[in-house]
Amino acid sequence: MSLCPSVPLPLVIVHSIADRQLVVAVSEEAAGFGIRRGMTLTQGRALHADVEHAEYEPEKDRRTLEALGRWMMRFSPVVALDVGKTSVPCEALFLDLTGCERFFGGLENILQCVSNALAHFGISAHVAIAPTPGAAWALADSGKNLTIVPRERLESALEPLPVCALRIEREISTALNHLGLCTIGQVMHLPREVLPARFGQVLLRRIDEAVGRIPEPLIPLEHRPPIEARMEWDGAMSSPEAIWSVFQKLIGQIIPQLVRRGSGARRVDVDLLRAHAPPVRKMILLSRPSRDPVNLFNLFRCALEGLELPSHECVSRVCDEGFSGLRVTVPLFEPMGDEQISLLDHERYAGQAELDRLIERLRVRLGNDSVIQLKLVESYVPEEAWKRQEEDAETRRRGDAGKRTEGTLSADVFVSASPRPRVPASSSRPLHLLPTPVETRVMVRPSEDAEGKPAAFTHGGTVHQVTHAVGPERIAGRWWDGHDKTRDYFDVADITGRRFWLFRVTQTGRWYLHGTFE
Amino acid sequence: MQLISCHDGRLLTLEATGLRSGGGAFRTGLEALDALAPGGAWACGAVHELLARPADGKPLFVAMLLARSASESGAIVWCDPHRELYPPALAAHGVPLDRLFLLRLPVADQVWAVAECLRCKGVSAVVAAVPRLTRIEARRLQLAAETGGGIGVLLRPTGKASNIYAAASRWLVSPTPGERTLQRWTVQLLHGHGGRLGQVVTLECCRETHLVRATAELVDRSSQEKTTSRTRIAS
Repeated sequence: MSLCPSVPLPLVIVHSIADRQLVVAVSEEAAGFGIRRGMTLTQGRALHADVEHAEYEPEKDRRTLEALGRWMMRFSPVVALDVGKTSVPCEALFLDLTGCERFFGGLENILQCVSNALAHFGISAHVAIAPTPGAAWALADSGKNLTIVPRERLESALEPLPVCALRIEREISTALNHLGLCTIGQVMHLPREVLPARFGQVLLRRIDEAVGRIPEPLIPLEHRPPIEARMEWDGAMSSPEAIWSVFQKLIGQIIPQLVRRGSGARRVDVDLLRAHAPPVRKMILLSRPSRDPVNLFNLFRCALEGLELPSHECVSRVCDEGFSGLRVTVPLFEPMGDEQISLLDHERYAGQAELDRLIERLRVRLGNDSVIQLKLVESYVPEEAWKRQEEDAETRRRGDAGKRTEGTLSADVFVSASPRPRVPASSSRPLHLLPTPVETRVMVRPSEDAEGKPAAFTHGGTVHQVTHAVGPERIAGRWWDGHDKTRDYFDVADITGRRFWLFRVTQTGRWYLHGTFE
Repeated sequence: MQLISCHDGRLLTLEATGLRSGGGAFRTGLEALDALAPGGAWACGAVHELLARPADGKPLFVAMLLARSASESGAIVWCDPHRELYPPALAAHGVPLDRLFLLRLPVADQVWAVAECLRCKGVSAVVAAVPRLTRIEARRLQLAAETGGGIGVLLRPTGKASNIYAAASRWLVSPTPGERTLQRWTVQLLHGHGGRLGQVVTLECCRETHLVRATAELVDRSSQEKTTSRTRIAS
């Protein structure tokens, strides 16, 4: 295979068949150690112990190739994947550039742009331009990178290329090699009538396609137009109700487009267009794909309430000017089946769906980071014993599964694989923790002893007399992270009954207030 | 037409307590505390206010108790504009973290956010520290709670700013001297139709085991003698 991913470490792609793991592709470094296609992983490891391996996933590769092909639609509207009519797995894209050179100022420019883009993506590939797809494939496969072959030099360019570049079966090319026919030129000089009897129709067809005698039809990727709707009007409008009604009309146009694709929107961009200023954009993110018009309208209303205008424009001037158009696009959408609600779970499901809508509304109005779900983290340092849980489809699905099967917690819901970290039972933690500890003046008993327990401290302008002090609880700093301060925590109660969490840094002897047990 | 019932020798007009259709009630499990509440249980679909003197801090512990008891399967939303809440302590007290949502939001948006969350049927408890409310805002929160069926717990300071309210019940929480490993608060009902006004319940929480107990001290002002009855219930 001609494609070698340019990874800086020895990497092989293995295909697991039963117990064996066969190497399907090697990187340049791994090839340098002598590892080849067809070896088993064990043999490869014997040649170089540190070789990394990844699983061969042809479906994913095909989808990535399709995505790359859609990206390449900026150069040509007709992009086709190489379906691979032979048994050789092909990773090639055909771009039909007929007429496109006018926009790019020549075929050389297109070639340069494409190869720059591929280099930018980190994909190493061979690019060749020829009058027929077969010829272009042959040139690229033979390693002739960045060549352009015009019509008059087609046959002479094809002659020196090896026979397997014609996309024929391996048996046929081996048979041709045995007969001493190694290049396409030699095969082309044979009399045409002989070839089908000995090698089948395929060889003749491939030669004719490469030279251009018969056309080779390509099946292009279907062009997926973006989902969008837009309305503009004369004059300026700034009343919210009017904008809402326009939005409802546009949503009415967008929902059939979503229905046609069987999808729901995950992200909706609303652009409020202005006559003499850049448009104001509001982005609505949804946690679940949705094409419910009521839901989208509510989210839009929340987004509009929290409208932030660029700081250099004062509000009154913009309201005088108003908006002259509205454009709604759906850049991200996901397949969505019709929701089926079982009778038993109806209420809980409805509650859960409402909760999702609420979270979306809060996020739209207050900002994405304002709604936080948490998980506990093993840490000695108290302020780092928890962190924000990243919301993604995996946790959402696991959360749903946990909620639908039983109403109580299931251990799957916690993202961490280790057993759930708990606060040690002997110590307690305050409900109110100050974001940063505040230094306080503390009097210790006995007063000469630096290791004593606190007797009184000053906080909020008042002196609190300590009646009980539980501690010290020593929490050592993470010296490997650079926090080398050790803290001795005391849980003190003052005479009114309030309890505070104080600590002393052993190295400096200073006291800090970290929280209150309220 | 008003619904009237007779409860403990006192007439209750159910129209005002919020125990209407769509309500329901929950219990914290602490008998002495529940006995003070209107109707012997805490109303769902209503707002409950916890007041504390500014020098005593915010009554987060009692708020945690209410939020934990009110929610069987719904979400708990806690407004935390100043980043003061410490979730591992909540987890140690038994609040399920997977149903907890923290809101980091500017103080000006709190009333809107609390109303939105209360209106949602999937949310069973919302906790927020709201220093002042106008009459319209208080009424809006109460209506939102009735729509959604969950409870709102508002933490407010005592004083003139908290004179305006529309809650089903208002309580005063203050710390009281405890033991070495026991932290104590006194809880007193200030307003609430049908509840026992003026009576004080002491809540005790053990620092190590997080067990909570409630003690009712019956104070008879006329004869000035105190009878203490301890009810041991682990929650």
